[in-house]
Amino acid sequence: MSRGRTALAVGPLAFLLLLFVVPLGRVLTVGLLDAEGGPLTPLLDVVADPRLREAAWFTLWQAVASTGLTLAVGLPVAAVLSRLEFRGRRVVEAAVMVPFVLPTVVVGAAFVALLGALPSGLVPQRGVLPILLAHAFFNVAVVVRTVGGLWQHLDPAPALAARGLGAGPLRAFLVATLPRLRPAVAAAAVVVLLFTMTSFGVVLVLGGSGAATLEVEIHRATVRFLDLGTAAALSVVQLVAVVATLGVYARLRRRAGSERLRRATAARRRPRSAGERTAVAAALAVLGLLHGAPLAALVLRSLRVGDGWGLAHYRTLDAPTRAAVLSVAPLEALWNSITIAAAATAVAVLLGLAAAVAAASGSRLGRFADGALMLPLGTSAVTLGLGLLLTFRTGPLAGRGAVLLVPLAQALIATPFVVQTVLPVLRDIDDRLREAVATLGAAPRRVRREVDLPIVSRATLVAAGFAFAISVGEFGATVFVARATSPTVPVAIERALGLPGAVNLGRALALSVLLALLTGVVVLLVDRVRVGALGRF
Amino acid sequence: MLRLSGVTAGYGDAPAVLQDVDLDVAAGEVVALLGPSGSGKSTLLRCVAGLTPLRGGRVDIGGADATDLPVERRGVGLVFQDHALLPHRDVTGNVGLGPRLQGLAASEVASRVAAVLADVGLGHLADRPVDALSGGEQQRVALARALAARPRLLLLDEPYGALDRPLRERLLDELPPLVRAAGAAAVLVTHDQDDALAVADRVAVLLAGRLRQLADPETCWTRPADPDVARFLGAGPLLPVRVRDGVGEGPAGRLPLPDVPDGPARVLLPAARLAFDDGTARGGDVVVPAVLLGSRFAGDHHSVRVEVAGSAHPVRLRRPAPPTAGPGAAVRLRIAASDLVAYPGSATQ
Amino acid sequence: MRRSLATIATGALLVAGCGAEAPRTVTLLTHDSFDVSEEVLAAFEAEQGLEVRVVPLGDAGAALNAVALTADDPGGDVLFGVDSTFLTRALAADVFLPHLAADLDAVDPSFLPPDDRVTPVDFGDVCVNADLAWFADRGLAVPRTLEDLADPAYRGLLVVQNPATSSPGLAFLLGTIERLGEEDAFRYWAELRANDVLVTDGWTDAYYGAFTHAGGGDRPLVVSYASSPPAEVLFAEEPLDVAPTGVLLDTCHRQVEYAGVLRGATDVGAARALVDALLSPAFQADLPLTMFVFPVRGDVALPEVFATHAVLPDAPVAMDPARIDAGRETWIARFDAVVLR
Repeated sequence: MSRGRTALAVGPLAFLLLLFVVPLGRVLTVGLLDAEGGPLTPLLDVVADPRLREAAWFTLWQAVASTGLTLAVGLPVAAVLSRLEFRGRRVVEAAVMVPFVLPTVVVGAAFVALLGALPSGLVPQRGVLPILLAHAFFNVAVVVRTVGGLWQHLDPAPALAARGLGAGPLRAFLVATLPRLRPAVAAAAVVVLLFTMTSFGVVLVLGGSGAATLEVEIHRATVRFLDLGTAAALSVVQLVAVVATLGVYARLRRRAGSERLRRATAARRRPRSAGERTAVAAALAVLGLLHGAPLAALVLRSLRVGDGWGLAHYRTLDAPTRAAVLSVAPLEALWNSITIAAAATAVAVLLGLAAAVAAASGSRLGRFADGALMLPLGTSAVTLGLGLLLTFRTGPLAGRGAVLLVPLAQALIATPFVVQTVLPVLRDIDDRLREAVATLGAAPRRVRREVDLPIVSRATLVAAGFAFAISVGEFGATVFVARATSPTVPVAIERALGLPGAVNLGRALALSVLLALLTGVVVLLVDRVRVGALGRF
Repeated sequence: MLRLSGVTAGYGDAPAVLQDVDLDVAAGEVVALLGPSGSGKSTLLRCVAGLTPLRGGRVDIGGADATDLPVERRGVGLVFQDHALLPHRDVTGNVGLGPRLQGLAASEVASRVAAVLADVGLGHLADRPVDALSGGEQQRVALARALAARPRLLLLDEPYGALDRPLRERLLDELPPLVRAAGAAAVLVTHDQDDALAVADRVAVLLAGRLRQLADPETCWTRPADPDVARFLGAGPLLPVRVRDGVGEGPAGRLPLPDVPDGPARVLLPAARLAFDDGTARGGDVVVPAVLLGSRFAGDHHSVRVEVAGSAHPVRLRRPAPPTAGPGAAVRLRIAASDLVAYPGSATQ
Repeated sequence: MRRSLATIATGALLVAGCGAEAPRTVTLLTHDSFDVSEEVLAAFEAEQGLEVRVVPLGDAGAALNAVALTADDPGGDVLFGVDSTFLTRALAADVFLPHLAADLDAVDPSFLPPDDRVTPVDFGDVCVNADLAWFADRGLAVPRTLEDLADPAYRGLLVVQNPATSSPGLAFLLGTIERLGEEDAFRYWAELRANDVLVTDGWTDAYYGAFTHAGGGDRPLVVSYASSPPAEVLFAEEPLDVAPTGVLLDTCHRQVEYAGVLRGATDVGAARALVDALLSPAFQADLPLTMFVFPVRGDVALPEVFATHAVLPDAPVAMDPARIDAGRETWIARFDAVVLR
């Protein structure tokens, strides 16, 4: 029964090979092999440079600190959203995703404005603390979706039993729930770690002068100095760090034991005690502060017209734009963003499910795919983008075909999210369920359809909403892929913010708010899908 | 309906869990597979179902060789101890799964589901979600699900182990008629002797991967195939004796063992055939001394613990009235000589 | 898209006029800030019987990088967007073919490149911009020279960009070195640091994040472009008579932007035509309102808003590209040490 499932890993791995390994190899080859003094020279130079060593150290510790902060905020929020039912829960769950889609430039501006409004000295406008806060702002969504995806199905009985034995709520959580959640928590932590290690925009905007991570240095080397040798060497250092992180993840990922999974609605209930109601209020307060405040600042700013208020900036989005070749009609950009993201989501969900099924079957190829698919998350977007450019500028994906390349590149980033959200649930499915269904007359593929797919359907929808938001936000290398044929909203925002003028600023803000709104609505709709068995579990 | 011939099986590279097992079960028959933990009972079920491959031997189902047949084509129904019901479907959805997989039309599926649910007495719960049912109801749904697929063979792996005694007994009582009505053969795995006694037409005793005895319950308990079976079943006190000229000399006195060769032997006094000697011994009976250990009231009789001289294991006997003597008192037990079971050879052989 | 309509129309015209002949395609590789009006491009396409494909490759450095790495087969015919800071590097990478554009004599001699492999197209000045209203409200005189910026009277009012990560930031640094000489320049930067200068990583963050006029920040002096004041007027929410921001002409550094025919072009003839077109009056007149840069042709009229609100230095300062290439890395490292650490 396992052989068919192993073969499912082939598709995602081939995709990874074509869209990641080959382009990355291209850049590293060009950068290192052509370096003067031979391929090792750039590596030795990088290691010897004190400024680069400092950048590497800073990269590591800010990533660890960011991950810690994100988990500290995200786990309680995930608990509240997946265990308790309250009015507006669905909206909050969708809203958590919104920060993901906002361009970092816009987020940075919102943070700077917000922090500037605080009494001076409380939190600096630029520095390490703003970086950590902004990272948490973005990445809480990862924890809520990944961990929540499993948590919503966990049987509350063991924790209740612990409470019955006299353990307090925290103790019960640590003893009875956390071990069962460990695979999902480990997955979320690794993803956030990789994301923050390669964080670029946030560090640039909020880090203040001198703050540099490896990613910033790679950008500098590539784009400012055209020093591909250094860039390639730094990318290798990054790769080593990523592989090491994935090694640690492989350890943490061990299955805690098979679970009796419950329907999500059965596992949720209304808050009963004052403590629980406080927990809901506290989680909402934290989210309100961390997410709501910057977003509110953004919305308010977008409504500011001259010295008063109004919808003028939103109205200009509809007005005809200058008839210039690369100018972006905002509504067209919105449409492009949505359709490209939809395509990327479809690809990511298909590949991600295949990889998750293969990994859950326990086969070595499947587990390898699980880890390997996360490599793009921790790889420099600059390097990867250049690699994609070099690899695909000729051939079927060049020119007009670039329309296909963008969703595929986005799927590179979105697929591991799908895997990490679906896999913990899939792995927890009791084998005996499958055996029982097999004896009733179902061939292996039918067993999957009757057992695995319905049970992971809701987790899959959670993952799909996630993948959509990631694609809309254009994380990773797509920033660097040619987009002449179908400009998207982040492009439009970037172009608007590239010129002075209040109208341009207003337009960028209005577009950001619209994008955030639209994404929130789509995610909300996806979360509510109930078609056949999909989403009912 | 089911025939295993020389079945040997194991997991991975580990030593074989099942060794050369022969077993047959007829249609309409319930065989209880009894054995301690680790004896290979569940493995045997999995081999029959096709979930674990054989290392040797063959499995015939319905007269045809099923050894290489995949799981889904064996026509086997499986019921686990923890129901393994699909959590995302309700009762009807679960029970109807088999008929649906067989390609029946929706109306046929519905009628079969209704019929089976009625058989197990759960017609009123047809639309309930599975997690809203009690443990007993869930196990009945699991059984209904297996039966709805009209299997030729029903395999039950300690299906009622998690339930309380009265419920368990009731469900066990309901089982054989359902099996017979379905015309299927059933193998019920259990480590609980009372379960086996309650439900089985025949009992198969599996010890350390080998099938030691396959016979009706009374035969198993009164004529166990070997001392290990006797000890496992707790059939009765097992006394070491030395036989000379057809008489066994041991701590309980002299026992007539006409066909047993000279030398050491062990003799079983099946508890089912032991009674108190209140002066009611007849010719052909053997009387053995014993020590009364204690007595307790057991609802509709008194359960008296006695230890036969020379036996390490006490045995319980029934009396309608409490014993007259107290603990430590000497009592006498009688048993027909023809009921003695002798195993030549000493314990170390 | 509107473009394709123009293209279809062009194609239809061609087919109707000349009989069945597929239009030749010429591919323009450029950076993300490039733009040109549709009608200007369409006119060119119709006139030449060409179809122009514009491919943005990222920012200027990324675009040059991509082309340099694939010089034999760059996938395009023309590269637009090499500026003074990268000129020497681009020439050394040998990606261009020599080409003397048709209207080169209409170009102001100060813009002519040292090499005939590139053609100048536009120029821009990077200068400190000032929020005039802010100074007026406080009755403070707007600073005029570089030295003024280091004056304690203007402490904490300036935001610049990191030359390591920002093109205008680098241009401004080069301007200080060109005006003051290297040693004095870095002494000057130490004074700026003591005067609480804010360094951001990019133009957007400085202009929209820290500049008082546009972003609601707290710094009324920002390194930006000479074309920023007219842009402020053009993109104001309500019509303005006077530009709200001004330029400190004594702080400017001029950059020229070039285009060239790529060595690996598939259609060299079409490439040459396109480069010539970039110097044509139509394109040159189009530049200010699409890319917010100034045309190199002296005989082209600036649009109204530029003519009224744009001010350019009389004696522009521009460092020689060869000197830029030789010193850039050292100077950026020195900036890092002097200002940031």
